[in-house]
Amino acid sequence: MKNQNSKQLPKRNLIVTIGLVLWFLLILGRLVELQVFKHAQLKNEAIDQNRYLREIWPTRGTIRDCQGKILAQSLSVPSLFLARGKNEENSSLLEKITALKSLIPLSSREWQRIRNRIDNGDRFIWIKRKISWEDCEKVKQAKIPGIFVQMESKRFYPLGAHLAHVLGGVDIDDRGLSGVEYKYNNFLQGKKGRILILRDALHRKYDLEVIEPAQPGQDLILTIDSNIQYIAERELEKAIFENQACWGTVIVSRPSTGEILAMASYPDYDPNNFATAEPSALINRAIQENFEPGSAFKLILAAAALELKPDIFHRTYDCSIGYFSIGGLSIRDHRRFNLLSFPEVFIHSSNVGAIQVALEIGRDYLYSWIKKFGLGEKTGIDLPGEETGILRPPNSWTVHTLPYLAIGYEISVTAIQLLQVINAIANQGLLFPPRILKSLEGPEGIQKLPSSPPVRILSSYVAREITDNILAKVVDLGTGKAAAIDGFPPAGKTGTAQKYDPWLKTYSSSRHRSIFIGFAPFDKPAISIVVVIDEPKAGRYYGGEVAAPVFREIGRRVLLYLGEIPRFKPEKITLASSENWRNHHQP
Amino acid sequence: MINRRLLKEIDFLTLAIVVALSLIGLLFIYSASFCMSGNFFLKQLVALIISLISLIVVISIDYRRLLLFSLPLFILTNFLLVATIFFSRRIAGTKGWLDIFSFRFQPAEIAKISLILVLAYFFSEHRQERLTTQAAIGSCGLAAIPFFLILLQPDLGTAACFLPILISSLFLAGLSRRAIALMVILAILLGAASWHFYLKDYQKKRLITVISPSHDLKGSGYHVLQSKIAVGSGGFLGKGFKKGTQSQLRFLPARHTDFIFAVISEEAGFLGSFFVLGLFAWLIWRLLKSVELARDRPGKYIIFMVASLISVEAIINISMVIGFFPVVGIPLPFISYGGSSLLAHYLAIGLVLNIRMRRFVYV
Repeated sequence: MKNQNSKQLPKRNLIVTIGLVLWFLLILGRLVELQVFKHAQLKNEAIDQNRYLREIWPTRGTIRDCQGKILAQSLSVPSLFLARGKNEENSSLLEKITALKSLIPLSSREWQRIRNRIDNGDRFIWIKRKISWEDCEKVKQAKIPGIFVQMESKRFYPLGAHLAHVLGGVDIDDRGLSGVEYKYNNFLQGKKGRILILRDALHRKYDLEVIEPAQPGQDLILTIDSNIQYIAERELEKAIFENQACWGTVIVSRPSTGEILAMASYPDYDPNNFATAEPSALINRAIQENFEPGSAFKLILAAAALELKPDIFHRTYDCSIGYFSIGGLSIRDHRRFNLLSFPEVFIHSSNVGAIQVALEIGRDYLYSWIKKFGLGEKTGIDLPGEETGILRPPNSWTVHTLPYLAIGYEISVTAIQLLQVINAIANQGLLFPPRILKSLEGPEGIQKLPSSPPVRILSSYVAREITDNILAKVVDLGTGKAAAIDGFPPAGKTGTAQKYDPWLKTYSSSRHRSIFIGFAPFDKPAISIVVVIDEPKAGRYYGGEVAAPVFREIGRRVLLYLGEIPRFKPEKITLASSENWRNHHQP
Repeated sequence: MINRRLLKEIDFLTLAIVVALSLIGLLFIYSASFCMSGNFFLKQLVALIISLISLIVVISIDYRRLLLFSLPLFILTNFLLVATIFFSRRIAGTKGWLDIFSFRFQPAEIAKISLILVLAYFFSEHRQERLTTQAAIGSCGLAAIPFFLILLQPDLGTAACFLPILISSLFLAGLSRRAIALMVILAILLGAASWHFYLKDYQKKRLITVISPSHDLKGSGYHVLQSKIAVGSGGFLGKGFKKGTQSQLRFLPARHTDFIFAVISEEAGFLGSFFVLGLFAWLIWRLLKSVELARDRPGKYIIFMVASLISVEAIINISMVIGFFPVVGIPLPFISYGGSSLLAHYLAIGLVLNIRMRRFVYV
């Protein structure tokens, strides 16, 4: 046994030991590297791959009218999506979709989109969003693997086209696109929450942790009363049909606060199908349409003249000539007058008289009053897309501008601007900016919105003079007789504008716009109404013939609805009779 | 039979280290697999008890007598290896397991022990200072039989474990520098040849992954990446027993078998992994020291081969877990799940204890 070999043994053993020690030290170093120095980074990697953050969508707020009636609400609806399995081939996904095609309707566009997604290698593919419960049930029963149902919320407008323009609409992800849905999107949508989903290597969830709960959106309470809205829409539509008009708008408001009670615009659309609505139907004519106001503008002229020269009331104007010539243009009256007193000029809407008044007070003074009434700028109503109207500064005026302006041309306004003007008169000179949102209702309770303070733009004396001696008499004696409401004497002003023809570059004698602005009762205004009917084609076109009856019908019903007591027993007290409706629809 | 004097000479410390490793293994096999079906913990516990009993049986018979049976045992295990190729079902890509009376059994593990015995027997008469060509060819030939039989399964990792046994015996027998150089050249040639002719694509990818771990994170790099995340995210103190996200959430592959060290590192942290590493170092240190205590040549050979087998397996397995070595199917001795492997390693330790306790000539 004792040979040389055994002497070699310790040496060989040593070599092996050194080698092993080195290797062990290497491993130890690596463990220190991984577990001490790279610990933080690798820990994050471990955390990253077993949890992910997902957003929780809050419920969108409900929109109600001032009576609490629901105008828009989000409902839970199913959506279908396709999830690609691990290493799943495109062909297998296509098979599943083909199987699905027989169950639910898929348009060729949707089909193409899904195919593109599949070819893209997407892992998550929407098949069809917000489908009906029946379709969803069919798909569920088919039990196709990889096809899942995800609950989403869909905006539902229970009243259909009712109040469409004010409400607006939302996109597929329930984001507001127009109307109050857009304007107050931030309040309505709430705040997204975050949820931490813990999952294993097979993507199976095993725990959820809400990091930040979703805050549901706040409810909007509008100043709109859906009953009044209904009346306004019905009467507007009726007038549009009767007069074969292009478009029209009606705004009803409470002059003492500026609250809009109804805002109707025709043509309209169903916000439940916002995406497929006609673009022209989407225009809210009450705030998004600039037009020349015609004689309705004379109201501002009268107010300006009275503020400048209180004694102008007793002046008379010779209107017997019947036309007014300036710079080769002549402006006519709609009928022959003789001598007219200042109020009579407006009661009978004499163009010749009005031009004389305008020339008397001068362009700069008139311009400053137009500005005071807020024309040429947005009223600031809380709806998106409001137009400013068109008001040119005096230095760009021509010789024609002042006389034309006196009768409501060469200036464009919006219906909501006219409402602001008439409200200022009704309020005895106090201007309340119009508004449509009454309050916000959230989990913390009701948040009333402070109404912006009224601005005095007119002395109450002038406002009362105009109301009592001009506007009330327009209805009593002048152009607005058709606006007379039984039991509730109104005040108002008619307007009939010839439409400018861009082809002929002149004002058309066959296309008109009929306007009536007013409030009732004249001495204690409860409501103010603006009516605009564009291009009545059934023969009548004067504001007093087309727009004034709409004012009357809406005023009568709304006042009774609001519980106003008539001065005397009115002949008609029906609020809404089915007979009227039927008569109107039968040819 | 063991008399009392012999009983006193049993190296209880080595045995304790081994049992400690096995218990750690059991603990983390439980942690890694308690939520899986298959009852791995219980099976391993039974395997441990059987292994301990086998160890007692092995130390009770004088190793010199056991050596006489080495050749028949070697022939028998090779027959089993042949049978495995024909009669086994494919598990995890290889045909390495034989089902005998509802016991699943991996003959390759036992083949390691029989190779150790047969090589010890073979070299017992080798008295030259330098390895003779004759002896070299003979020992290589013996090792080649199980090696190639296992390659046929095909299980490169297990087959590779036969190399440290062979090389350590050759080393002990006295390799010249020239022979070592020759072997290195041969290994390189063999490696290059196998790259082109034997290695499968997945094996090549695993090799590439060691050099560049981010090469294929979802494929061949996945194991290593997840394993490194597990080890690193454990930190210094670990995430706690049964609290390792990498293993409990199944990000870690083969967590109760080949990657058990990653589970230990994750749940017990650097302290745990250092402890296990330390136990292995201690064990190997004791084994290497026992080599000198052996009273005869075959004894020295056996202990040395056992030491090199255990150290190479442990080092390769841990290196693989920490991304230092390509992913090969070599379990961590005493710790990884696997009854055959546990039994084989206990038999090996039994042989070492056997030789050590019988080191005195007067017995």
